[in-house]
Amino acid sequence: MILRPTREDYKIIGYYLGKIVIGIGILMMIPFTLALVYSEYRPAADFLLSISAVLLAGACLSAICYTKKDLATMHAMSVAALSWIVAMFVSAIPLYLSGHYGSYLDACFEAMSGYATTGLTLANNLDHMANSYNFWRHLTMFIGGQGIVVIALTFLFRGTAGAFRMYVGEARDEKILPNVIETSRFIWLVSIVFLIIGSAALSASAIIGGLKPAKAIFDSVCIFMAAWDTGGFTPQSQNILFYHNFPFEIITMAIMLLGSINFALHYAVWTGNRREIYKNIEIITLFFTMAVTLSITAWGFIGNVVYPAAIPYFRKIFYHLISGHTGTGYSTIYPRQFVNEWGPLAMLGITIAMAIGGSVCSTTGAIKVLRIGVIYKALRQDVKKLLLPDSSVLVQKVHHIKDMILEDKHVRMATLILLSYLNLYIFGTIAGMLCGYPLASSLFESVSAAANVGLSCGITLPSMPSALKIVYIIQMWAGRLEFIAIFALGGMIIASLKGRE
Amino acid sequence: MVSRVRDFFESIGNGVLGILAEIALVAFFILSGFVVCIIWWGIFK
Repeated sequence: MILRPTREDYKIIGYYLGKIVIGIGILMMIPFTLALVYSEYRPAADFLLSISAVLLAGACLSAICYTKKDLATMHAMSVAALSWIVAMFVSAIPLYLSGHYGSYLDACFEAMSGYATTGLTLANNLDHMANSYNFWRHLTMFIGGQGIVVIALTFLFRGTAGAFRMYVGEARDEKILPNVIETSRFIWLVSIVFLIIGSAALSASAIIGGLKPAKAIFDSVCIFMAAWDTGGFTPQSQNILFYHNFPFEIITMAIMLLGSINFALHYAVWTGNRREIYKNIEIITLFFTMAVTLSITAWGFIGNVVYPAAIPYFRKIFYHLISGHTGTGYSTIYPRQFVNEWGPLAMLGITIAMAIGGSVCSTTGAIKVLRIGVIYKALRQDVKKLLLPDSSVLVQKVHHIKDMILEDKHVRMATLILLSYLNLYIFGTIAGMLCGYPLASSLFESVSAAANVGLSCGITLPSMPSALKIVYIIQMWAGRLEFIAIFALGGMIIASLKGRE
Repeated sequence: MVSRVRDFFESIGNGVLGILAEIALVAFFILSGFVVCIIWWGIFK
């Protein structure tokens, strides 16, 4: 029997959603300030209007739904799932007002692409976008990568049990420190430290490469935020190709890889447990999956002379493999080159890398290497069982921060998420094909959206069908939250309709 | 007081060494990718 949620249940959800909306309104003050610094008065007016509307809406929602009750699991999951939708709608307001988007749906697509750290863009005339709008796009990516709930936990909420449930609902099932607020703050510490190091390295490289210092610093901060959060937005329409700078590409590769590392591993390494780096199942699995997908991609280039020298071969193929595998989506080629120059096998290699993704509890999307590692270990255990006598007892260990015995519940969870992702990839592929795109391109773009990567083979354009834009928004949202919070929200909606009083 | 100061500098030292270890890890990944690409390109160019 399912119980229908009470009025109090809706109030709890509304109250916390209101707080998150207020948080987004406060964050909009950063691009507003930047607009004033750059003397961009029309964008400043747009941000002022957006901030007023968003703060008013958040304050009204919090006041109407005011409650002192803590979040139960159902509320926390629903807030985690709904906060991303609400954030998309409110964050799209200044983007729509910018005039760079054909419709409010396009602005919503861009906002969700930012929050989900996907990086697919529908912006028109990106090269002439005001700095403040551009910074807002990248900031949404930084916020989404850190996690909307993580930000709320850091600045707005008390460290209650409900706060931890919300944190879990945002696809972060590892509590690094005993207190979830401390965990959120550690995530910020790592990000800020690398923001300083990464932005400085990128700026130096860009200045040496010939960019003016002011532009070099602005672009470097934006690119760091998007690379660290494995997002993929850039201030230019030509993406990383714009810079034509080999050291710049190497640094972005390093940032993408660092962004795909589990925050629990960062914590272990930063607190003296440096051996964890080569013992951790995620790092070992990432190394092997990268080797396999690189080999598939390279196999696709046999007989293909599009990159006749070794360095361009490395710069193009390995760069896109890292970009795809970490779920970033940075590119040094034009989207149609995937179809016209790379061919289906090379695209398949990148597609598999995108589908696998990086580490859990990082900023990446997709299935994640930990789950691939767990399923592989379970398979190996089953094969060993078949070969050993019936009376033998086999214990399979997995090393992730500490030694753990592989249990059925770990394998079931990993398999459930794997199957959910495969279904999501297929859903988007069918939608793409129904809209008239070929199989290889539909699969590539669908995996890119659902795995929150952002590499495009040319489907994602302002002119693509609205239905496909909505499908990709759903894919980006579901892929980022890893389903559990969305399943819980679905359960709550069903309970609201069919549950008993 | 002395132990607190020592702990503070120890945690800073661990953090710095941790960052260097992570940078070494990504450098290893990129170098490995470079070597694999060179091998593939060398054999099948």
